[in-house]
This record gives sequence, C-alpha cells and structure tokens, in this order.
Amino acid sequence: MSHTSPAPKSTLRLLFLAWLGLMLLTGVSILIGHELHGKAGLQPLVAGVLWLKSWLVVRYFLEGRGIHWFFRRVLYVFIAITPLCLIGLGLWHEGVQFFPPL
Amino acid sequence: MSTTLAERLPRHDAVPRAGRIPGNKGIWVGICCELAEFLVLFTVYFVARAHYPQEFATGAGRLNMGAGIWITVAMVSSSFCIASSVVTLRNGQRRTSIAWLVGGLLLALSYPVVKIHEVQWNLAHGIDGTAGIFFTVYYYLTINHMVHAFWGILGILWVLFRHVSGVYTSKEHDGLEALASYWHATDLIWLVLFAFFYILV
Repeated sequence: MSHTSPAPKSTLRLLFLAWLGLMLLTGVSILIGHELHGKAGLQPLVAGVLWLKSWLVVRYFLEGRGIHWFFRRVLYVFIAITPLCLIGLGLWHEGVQFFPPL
Repeated sequence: MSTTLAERLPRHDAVPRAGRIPGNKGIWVGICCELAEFLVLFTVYFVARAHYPQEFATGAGRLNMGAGIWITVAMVSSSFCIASSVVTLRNGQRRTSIAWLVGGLLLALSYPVVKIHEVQWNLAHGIDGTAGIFFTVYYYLTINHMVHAFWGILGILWVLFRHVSGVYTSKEHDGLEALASYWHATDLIWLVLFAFFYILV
C-alpha cells in the first residue's frame, strides 16, 4: 500500500496532544466518579467524557477522517452507542417517562 | 483552462475519495466483528445494570481502582506509541519507528501483568465470579477483553519481528498499519469497560 504523510512532525505533535487529552479526560472521569458518587448527573457526564475519549482515539490514532467511509461509519456509530445507552439508562432509572401513560 | 491527460488521471498515492483502508480489508472485517461482539457484551451489561442497579452501584467501589487506572494508562499510551511508530515509518525513520513499537509492546505487556495482580487482589478480597451479578459481568467482559488484548500483543511481537527484519518500508507497511488499527480498536473497547466498571459507582 502506498501512503505518504505530508507533515510527520505536526502529525506526531497531534498524536501527543491526543494522548495528553486522553490522560486528562481519564483524570476528569475519575474525579467525576468520585465527586458525583450516586448522584443523578453522573451517568450523562461519564457518557460525555467517554464519547470524547473515544472520538480522540478514532480521530487521531485511527486517523478516522481518512479511512474508508464504511469503516468510518462503523467506528463513529460504535463510539456513540454506549454513551447514548448510558444516558438512556440514567433517565430510565430516574423515572423519566419517555411516553405518557394512556 | 486546459489540463493535460496526466493531471486528469488519478494519482496512485492519493487517498481515494471513499477513504483508504489502513492495513488490509481482512483486519477491518475482524475489527468490525470484534466491535459487534463487544456490543453484544455491552448489552449484557446494560440489561444486568437495568435489573440490578443497587448491585452495580455498590460493586464498583469494591474493585481495585489503581489496577483499572494503570490498564487505561497502559492501553492509551501503547496506542499512542504504535500510532507514532506508523507515522515515523511513513517519514522513513525506520529505527525510530521500531523504538516506538518496542515502547508500545512494553506498555501493552504491563496490561496482563496488572490484570493478573488485580485478579489475585480480587480473590484475596472475596471477589470471584460468584460474588454477585456485578462481578460476574465484570469478569465476563474484562477477561474477554484481555483475550483480545492477548491476540494484539502476539500481533505486536510478530510485527516487531518483521519490522526488525526490514520487511516494512515508508511506502509498504500494511502489516504495521493493520496491527495499529486492531490495537486502537481494542483500546476503544477498554475505554468503555473502564467507565462501566471503575467510574460509574
């Protein structure tokens, strides 16, 4: 396979920044888990941080922008499903009624 | 403005409009299967969590948080090293690329070491597969992930052997890219497991 990278130094810098972001977000998620123990806002916040971390991996490590459209969609759908399920489950546990009773 | 025939013909090294396939199609079929498999396992998690919210709320607090954090740092950092290995090889820096790959391997190897320590710690604290629904799901998903990480580590060893043998060049490095793609996908899955079992307390 033939592939050329136009600016490897800037690509390495972006990879480093993505790694740094992932480390920071890991710290943030631990802090959120500790501070919001058992509280209602925990699941949506964790879902948001999880999506952001997954997006960083797909966008920078997997070079998501340049890969084949089908696999790109598979990856973006995969990283969206779990956070959405977490938010949905959180709402369900809080008794939010998606549909009014008949 | 007129253009020559050569300008109108597609360039062989240009990224196709539909996007490129890093590595090869086979590894991406495998990655799709891996993601589909874990989506099924995540469904198990959500169904169990929906039915036993109290067990999940208290269970996470009993796990070894330090082990979870270290595995996250190891997975993310080894992913970074392997991505850097690909980028430096594209730039023709073969020795630097090998060094990044060795770094990625060492970090990846710390995952099973920490996992074994974590399981021993769990057992010493009475946390086995029968300790409750939370721990059953925890063992089910995390051991499954470690099996996938184990295949990845074997892949890193194989790619490292080929890289040192001089098989990969700046223009031809499908094997390295295939491995990197698989390892990043395995990293993605771990990020979800970390949130499930160590953060959502």
